[in-house]
Formats: sequence, structure tokens, C-alpha cells
Amino acid sequence: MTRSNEFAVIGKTTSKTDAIAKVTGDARFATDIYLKNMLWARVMRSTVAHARIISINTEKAKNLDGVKAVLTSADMPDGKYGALVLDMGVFAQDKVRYIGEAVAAVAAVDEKTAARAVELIEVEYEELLAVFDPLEAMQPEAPVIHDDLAAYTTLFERTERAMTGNVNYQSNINTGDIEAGFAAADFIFEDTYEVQKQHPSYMEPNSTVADVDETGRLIIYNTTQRPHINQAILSSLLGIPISKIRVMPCHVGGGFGGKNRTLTEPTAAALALKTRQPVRLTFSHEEEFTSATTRHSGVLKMKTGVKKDGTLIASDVKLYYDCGAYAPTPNAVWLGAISSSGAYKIPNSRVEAFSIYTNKMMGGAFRGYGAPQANFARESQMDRIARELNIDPIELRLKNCLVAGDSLHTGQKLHSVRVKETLEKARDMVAWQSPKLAPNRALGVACGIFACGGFATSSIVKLNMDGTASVATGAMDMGQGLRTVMGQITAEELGISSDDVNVVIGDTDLTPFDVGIFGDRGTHTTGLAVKKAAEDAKIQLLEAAADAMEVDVSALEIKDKKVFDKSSDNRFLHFRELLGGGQYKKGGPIIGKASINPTEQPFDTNIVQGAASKMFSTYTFATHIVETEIDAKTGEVKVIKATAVHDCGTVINPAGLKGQIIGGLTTGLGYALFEDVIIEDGQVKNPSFLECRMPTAVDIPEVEFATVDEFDSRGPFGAKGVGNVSVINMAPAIANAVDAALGVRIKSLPITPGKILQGLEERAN
Amino acid sequence: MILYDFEYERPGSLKEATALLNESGDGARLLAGGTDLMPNMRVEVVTPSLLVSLSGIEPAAPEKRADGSIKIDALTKLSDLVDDELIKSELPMLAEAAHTVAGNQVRVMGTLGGNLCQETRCLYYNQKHDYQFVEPCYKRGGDCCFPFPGNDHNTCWSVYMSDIAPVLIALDATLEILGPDGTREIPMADLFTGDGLNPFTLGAAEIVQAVIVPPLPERFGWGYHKTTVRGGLDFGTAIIVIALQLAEDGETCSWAKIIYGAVGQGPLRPTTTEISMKSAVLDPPLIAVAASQEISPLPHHGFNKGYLRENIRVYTERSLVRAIARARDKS
Ligand SMILES: Cc1cc2nc3c(=O)[nH]c(=O)nc-3n(C[C@@H](O)[C@@H](O)[C@H](O)COP(=O)(O)OP(=O)(O)OC[C@H]3O[C@@H](n4cnc5c(N)ncnc54)[C@H](O)[C@@H]3O)c2cc1C
Ligand code: SF4
Repeated sequence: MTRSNEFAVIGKTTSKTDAIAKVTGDARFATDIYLKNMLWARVMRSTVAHARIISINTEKAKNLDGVKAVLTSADMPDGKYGALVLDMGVFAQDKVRYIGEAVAAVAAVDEKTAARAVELIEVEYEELLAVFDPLEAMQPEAPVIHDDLAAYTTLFERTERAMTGNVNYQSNINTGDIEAGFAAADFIFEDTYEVQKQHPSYMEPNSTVADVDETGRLIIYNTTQRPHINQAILSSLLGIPISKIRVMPCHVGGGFGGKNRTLTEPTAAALALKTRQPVRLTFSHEEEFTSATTRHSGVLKMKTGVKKDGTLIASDVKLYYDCGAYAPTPNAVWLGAISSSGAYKIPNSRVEAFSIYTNKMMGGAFRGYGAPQANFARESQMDRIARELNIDPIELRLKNCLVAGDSLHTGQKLHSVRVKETLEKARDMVAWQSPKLAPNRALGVACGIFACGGFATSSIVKLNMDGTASVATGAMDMGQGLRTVMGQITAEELGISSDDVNVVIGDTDLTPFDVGIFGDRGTHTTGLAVKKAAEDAKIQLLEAAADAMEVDVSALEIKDKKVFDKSSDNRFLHFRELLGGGQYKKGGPIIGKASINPTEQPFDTNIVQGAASKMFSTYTFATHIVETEIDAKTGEVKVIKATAVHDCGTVINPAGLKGQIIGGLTTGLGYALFEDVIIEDGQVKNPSFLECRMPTAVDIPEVEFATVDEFDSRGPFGAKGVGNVSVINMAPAIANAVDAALGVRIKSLPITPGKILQGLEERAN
Repeated sequence: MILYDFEYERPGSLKEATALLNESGDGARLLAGGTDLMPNMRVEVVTPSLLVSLSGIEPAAPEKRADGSIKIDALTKLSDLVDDELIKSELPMLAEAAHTVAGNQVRVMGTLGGNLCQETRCLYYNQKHDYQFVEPCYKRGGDCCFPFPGNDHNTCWSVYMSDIAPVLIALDATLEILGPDGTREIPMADLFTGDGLNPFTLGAAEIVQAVIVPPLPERFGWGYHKTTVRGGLDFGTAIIVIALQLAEDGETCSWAKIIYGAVGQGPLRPTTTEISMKSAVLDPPLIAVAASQEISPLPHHGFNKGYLRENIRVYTERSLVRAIARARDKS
């Protein structure tokens, strides 16, 4: 693995710090918290997809024995929230916009009473025409879902159609000369792809226990990927200062992007403030599958101009992402726009990406974050091009792929790119000759790019009296292993062992700000802040040692928790001698700190309009090849083996990397073959794990994986990310294998046996 | 979380259990492993006021009787059906079917009797109705049907998804049923009414006590296939079960039974196909023709009729081939 021999701790598998606690059941999750006098909350939800609220009568509910509070939007300050478009209230304000939207909430002495009280709330609606299809919602005559859209606060540069009709966000990319590009093309390929909703399917539902302490501060125990943002949102929604709120996240039972939301916290907090009792709110699984967030569904139109030899010369992409009734994360749409060119150099490129309201549950962040949709379209079409031009699909990709020094179609210059090597290595690992192996067996390949890192973070490293260290960051561990990796980075920098590092995460009283964990930024960006904070602590330690030993700092080096005078082997001080006692009189405790706040605009503003975020510091790449067995009579597809090669920079923890790759491609497998949140007339037909069908252990194919040698100068010890890019290749790779085996091109996900049989029938006719 | 109150009893014998059921009438339900009942109580499509738990009663081990038949206690856990040596060697089709049920956690709780008496299923029925699908459908005592609005009044196309019942029908099994007035025996197939609203013929106080499988004839062959979307933890899209006997020539079919599960309100049986195979020589063209006849699956869980038909046709053909090969193996 990458340069791990230069490191003591980096590149070595250390067991996850929380592994044992999770296996034994000792790890504390939000639903494990029971406080004295705790009340149970329950949300009353809309039964209609689009309606004006005429009246809400809560009298009967309030009068029910055991009910302590009932809240509606009338009881809340007026604010709205959202990541870039502030469009959602804690409860429906004036209108409901999807079935399952929160209208009111109850706190009662037990869950049954709360449930009974919810049934007693009476809402009178004036129903409005609803729209469920994003393309229909784009039409001028479509019902308008947010009447005051133009007046909403937005945190991005508005483009022409943004905040008009049902479009809440638009971004454009315009590189080169699109007309000239297509004019110069020998062939033009045009396809439309459709993608479904996929639920993040974390096992642990959203959950908050809110408490008001004796000083009147609000204490939040929750399950989240972004405690500091929770704190800020609670402050603005409830109208109380940030300092009066402490978010103390518990262990997280899976997030996958879905816990980059603030769903249960405001309701539980408002009820706790109202009743002055602790309040617990946990979503049922039906609520999760109807009222949380899924991956955006949508329609993707892709037109690509190609030279005879396979050189991509022009690309015109339109992305219509259905964000549902509110737009919690248009950033996913922007990431879709970025990844829609694939890992390729296309000189003339135009992308228009839209986030469109419909009367459905929300689309938002989910592992892969806008890229799995775009990459399904790009990589499916690449395979079609290869087949029709009679070029080997891997050759075609190699011919067009980006290399370090190239600019992405956004104008961002890329410094760390090894997609070519991932293609070559994957090709070698499967001994690729041609995709079709036998009548019912085929290989499918896809590669992809993911925007990695960025956004604000910070860290503190405190050296302890016994020579150990404590590192604190506001980032979160949702099971991906952030605690372990931050411990390794701190240990490496300070020359101590991982066991000597105490990692404190999340708690907003104890940790400095981090924006939350998403977009492959934990290891790369938070990790960099941690490294720099440790470096700062190390410098202070050396200065203290120089002072104590009366030598120059340059004469000192660190080994085995000791500071040595390089000129003499037996002249040294133990960390604990430096940190205990003496030094406190002089410099005080040693606390290193660092923050990272990328503000530099990486994109070319002549090329890009409406960038939802401007902070991606680097990009990760991967190639996946699947070996599939396809039953031409039944349309059933089985993935026998997946080969994954990643360009993720330096590997910090090999076991963690393996987990991320297998986990990611399993999510991609479910997206490709099984999963779908089916909505009909605004109602989710299959709100359960049983019917949404994420893959089970027996569905996971044999996985062989590797990394390519890369050191990203902008990451800690050369590291990039891996968690998202591992998701994005499976769907196109499988679609490509199906096409190779049967000559049937499936352009809509999931790839079901029914669609394959239909494709075979159409081909026969 | 079950959000309503109910009573709970844990009798020491099945006799006491029927007595309890008898006393409390319609509001009582048996609780075996609870893997079907508990989820239904959570979503409140079944709301018994009394649960009569069978957890205090030890099932007898499967037993081979003097006449060669095998008697299996209805309280036997599915995981024990999978692992039991007698079942594995004498009734491998039953062991295989039990193994395809759900996943390990469900199989170690779920019982044979509970599997046979599991409620019929439908996407709309098996979920909460707090704010989605609020209007009660026919099966919930209301006046509509969500997936099939065009159906006649009170027609419910919920499907019966047991993996095991079709196998027991193919094996000619009998159920031993205990009621307040003693025991009676019925052929496995007679458990079903064919009505999605009320799928079982059992009386409110009746308990399935045991399953009796007669000895298998010579030159017996079987085929079992369960189509699922993913590899585990899935109910069947369709279940295809074949049992047949070959004549001494190893070519002619003495009789064949074909049972389809998950695509009707109870197991389906294409009898004209069975009749057409009787005394016929089972060569590939005949098998193909047999497999293409008379399949009338109910669309369910998003699978349309055309797809189900095709899937059932292909797997009927393949399962027939397996069954014939197994029968020849035995001759
Ligand atoms: C995730 C999941 C997946 C599943 N997948 C499958 C599957 O693939 N295939 C499949 O066949 N099943 C499946 N099931 C259903 C599973 O619950 C049954 O297979 C199981 O065997 C039921 O047995 P039980 O003892 O738990 O029944 P219970 O839930 O205790 O009872 C079910 C019903 O039968 C009645 N009953 C129980 N015992 C008797 C008896 N002796 N006499 C009369 N009535 C009785 C009860 O009153 C109740 O109405 C699945 C269930 C779950 C939760
Ligand atoms: S099929 Fe039956 S259970 Fe399903 S909605 Fe119709 S009546 Fe109800």
C-alpha cells in the first residue's frame, strides 16, 4: 500500500476503537437514553400531498390525560431552514407539500398516550393539485409547490431558473464551444436515463432526547453526522443563542448521508423547552421511509459527440433531480453536475442541472451524493459508445480519462488523478480480454470521479500529563471509523501509539467546529486539521523541551514519547516529565489547534454558474469491474465477483478501507438491482426494510480490491477519501455487463428481471 | 412497538390453549414464534385482545411411525426442520423449503404451525396506516382496495406466502387439528378457503397440532424453487413445487403434482396440467408444454401478471427436469 513503510502508525490496521463496545452492546445510542420524567413525543403527519391548511384543532389532544404539550407551527418562531435553500419549517406552515409532512407534535407521559393524542388532532385541508413528476413540475402550467419561492433565503448564486416555478436550484457548466464540438463530432449519442429513490437504510432510526438542564441550557442527545450544524440550526429555529445549546451525539447506528439532517432535534427540543421535561422522539421505520430523505430520483439526458477514434469531443447534459417537497441538499445536484462528465476530458461541455420540487418525500444526501445518478448515465453511455464504435470499453475509457494537470469541465485544475492506473490495474486483475465470457456470463466495467473534501473544520490536540494526547473535533463517526483514523493521524504526527490517543468527537461543548461528515471529507479534511493541530502541539512541546534542556529546537527530535537531544543519545526528557509539573509554570498546558476553511474558488467563474459549493480540494477516482451471471430466460442477474481499484491516496487504515469499499459497492449493488422507494400518488407503497430491499449478506459478491500508488499533497499524509466513490460504479458496471451478455441496454434503475425480459422481447421483435 | 393493550396467557398444554381460545372468542389469537403476528400487531391490522402463547409447550421431535409416515409437531421451529436428521433424509424437500424462509433470526423463532397459518400479505396491508393509506381496505374492514380498485366489492387479492404449505400439499400431508371438541384431520390443501379476506378454514379455537406426511412412493421425484428479488430475507415472488412418481420404465409419469405459492390467496394447483402429465412420457417437448399451461398468478408486491407467468413457466420446466432426474436416481 501507498508509502506506508515510511510511517509508524499510518497504513497499519488498528482495530476500531469502538468495535468491542458495539459488539457487546455497551455502546450507547440515543434510544438507550432514559432520563427521569422523560416524555414521549410523536409527530402528527399530513395525509394529503398538497393542500392549504385551513385550521388545526389541538384541543382534544391537549385535553387527553397524560398529554403535556401539543405544538404546531403557530407555537414556533417563524424561521425556515435548509442547507442552501431555507424552505422548511419544523412544522408545516400554511401548506402541506407531501404525505408524511410534520404538521404537529405531541409530548405525553408514554408512547401510547402520545399516539392516541396524535389521532385526536383535527386538521382541515383545502386540497390543491399535486405534481409528482419532476419534468411535469418544470412545465409552466404545473402547480406551484412553494408560492413564495423567490423570496426564500438562498445561500448560492441564483441562475436564470433557480427559484422560479418549482425549480429551487440550478447550476450550469459551459466549457469550450458546444456547437463547434458537436459539429466536429463524427458520431452523436443521445440517451435518457431514469433513476429511482434509494433510502439510506441506516438501521437506527432518527432519534433525539432533549433535556433542559438546571441552568436552562438545552441538552440534545441524538444520532447525527453534524452536531455543530444541528446546534446552529436549533439556535436559529428556536431563537436561542448557540451557547445555550449543547449537542452531545451518541453512537450513530448508520448514517450514510441520511443523518446529515436535522429532523427529530427541533421537535424534541421545542417540546422539552415547552414542558421543561426531557422529551424523546424516535421515528418509526414507516416515518423513516416516508418522511426522512432518500437519494434523489430523476431523469438524466445525455448527448455526447465522439470522433471516429473514440475521442470525446462534446457533451450536453441535462440533469433533472427530483428533490421532493423541500430541498435539504441541492449540493447533491451540483455534485451530480460535476460528476456528469465522468472521469473524462471533454473539451466542449455543457451541463444544466436542476433541483425540482414535487409533492413527494425529500431527496437529499446519501452516500455517493448526487454522483451515482450521473455516473450511471455517463458510464452506461460510454459503454454504448464503445460497443457501437467497436472499441474495447476499457480502451475507450483510457483514451479519454483525465490525468494530473488536466482541468475538469468546471475549470478546476486537478493535481491528484490516477484514474488511468485504476483502469489498468482492474483490467489486469480480471485478466480482461473482452466483456463477454460465455453466453450467460459477462464482465461490466465503470470508472468514476468524486469530489472530495473541503468545507470548514477544526481540531484541538491537548497533550496530557502522562505523555498521552487527546484530540477533539466536531466531526462524527457513524461507523466508518473516524475515531480510529483521527487517533492514528494524531499518533503518527506526535510519534506515539494509537492507544495513547484519546479521541473526543461531536460534543459541541468539548469540540471545535466541524461542518459534518459527508462528501469524502472526514479523513481528508478533518484529518488534515487534526494533523495540523498535532503538529502545533508538537512544536510547542519541542519549544518547551528546548527551554528545559537549554538547546535550540533544531537540535531536538522525538522518539518513543521522549524528546532527544540529537547530539547525545542519553540526553532526553520523557513527554511526561515535560508535560507533568514543571512546564505548567511557564507556557501553561500544551494545546495545539488548527482550522481549515477552504475559501479559494477552484472553479472558473466564466465556466460555472450557480456552484452550490466551491470547496472541493481534491478528487477521488475508482474503477470497478463486475462479473455477472445472467439468466436469459428469467432475466435474473447475479453478481459473482466485484473487482475494485481505488485512487484514494495514502491508505491510513487498511481494514477501514476494505470496509468502506465493500460497504460502498454493496450500496451500489442495491441501487443497481433491488432498491426502490416506490411512490404512487404521493404515498410510499413499500415503507419497510423488507420491501425496499437493500442487499443482504448473501447478496454481496466476492470482492477483490486494490489501491493505486498516489500521494495527495493536500491530504493528511497523502490521504484522500473513499466512502462515496465506492458507491458510484456498480449500477453502470452491472448495466454494461447485462448489455454485454444479452445485448439489452437497461437505462432505468433498478435493473429488474422484468425490465430485462421486456428488453429481450423488444430486441426479438 | 405495539401501541395498544392486550392480555397474555401462557398455558401449559394445547388443550388449555383451545379452552382459552374458546372462552374468549374472536378477540384471541395463538402466539407461536410471533414472527408473523407481532409485525401485524405493530401495524394494527390484527389487534387481538388476548394472546395465548404456546411458548410454554415443548414440541415433540419429528417421529417416523409404524406405517412409515412422519409426524411433525406444529410447534417445531423452522430451524429445527432445517437441521433435523430424519427430515433431511426422508423429506429433503421440506428441509429445503424451510431453509428458504426469511433468515436465521426468523427461523429460530418461527414455527411450522405459524408458518402454515401466517396471514396473507399485500404491500398496503403490511404497513401502518397513520397517514398513508388511511382509508381501510376490504381486509381491514373498510370499503376499498388500493392495488386493485377495479375489483368487485370485498374481493381481496392479498397473497399467501408460506414456502412450506405448497410442499406439504405436494407431499399429500394431513393436518391434525385440535379443537374444543377434540381432534380432526384434514388434507393440507383443505386449510385454505381461497378468500383473501379470510384465508383459513380453521375455527377460532382450533389449533394445528401436527403435520403428518405419508411415506413417499418409489421412484418419487421432487423439485422446489423459490423466486426472490434478493438472496435472503425475502418472501417469494413465486414458489414452484413439483412432486411426481415415474412408472417402472423410468420415462412415464404415473402422476405429478404442481403447486404454486405466493401467487394466490392460497396455494394454487394447475390441475389440468397435472392431468395432462398423468401417464405421459416426460420428454423435453412435453415438459415444455406442461410448464406453459394454465398459470394464473395474482399480481402482487409490484410484480405484474405477465412477469410472474413467465417466471413460473421457466421454473416449472426446470423444476420438472430436476424432479424427473431425482426420480430416476431412485430407480
Ligand atoms: C422478515 C421476515 C421474513 C419472512 N420471510 C418469510 C418467508 O420467506 N417465507 C415464509 O413462509 N414466511 C416468512 N416469514 C413469515 C414468518 O413469520 C413465518 O414463516 C413463520 O414461520 C411464522 O411462524 P411463527 O411461529 O412465528 O408464527 P406466529 O407469528 O406466532 O403466528 C402466525 C399466525 O399463525 C397463528 N398460529 C400460530 N401457530 C398456530 C398453530 N399451531 N395453529 C393455528 N394457528 C397458529 C397465529 O395465531 C398467527 O395468526 C417472514 C417473516 C419475517 C418477519
Ligand atoms: S388486496 Fe386485500 S389487503 Fe390489499 S388493499 Fe386490497 S383488500 Fe386490502
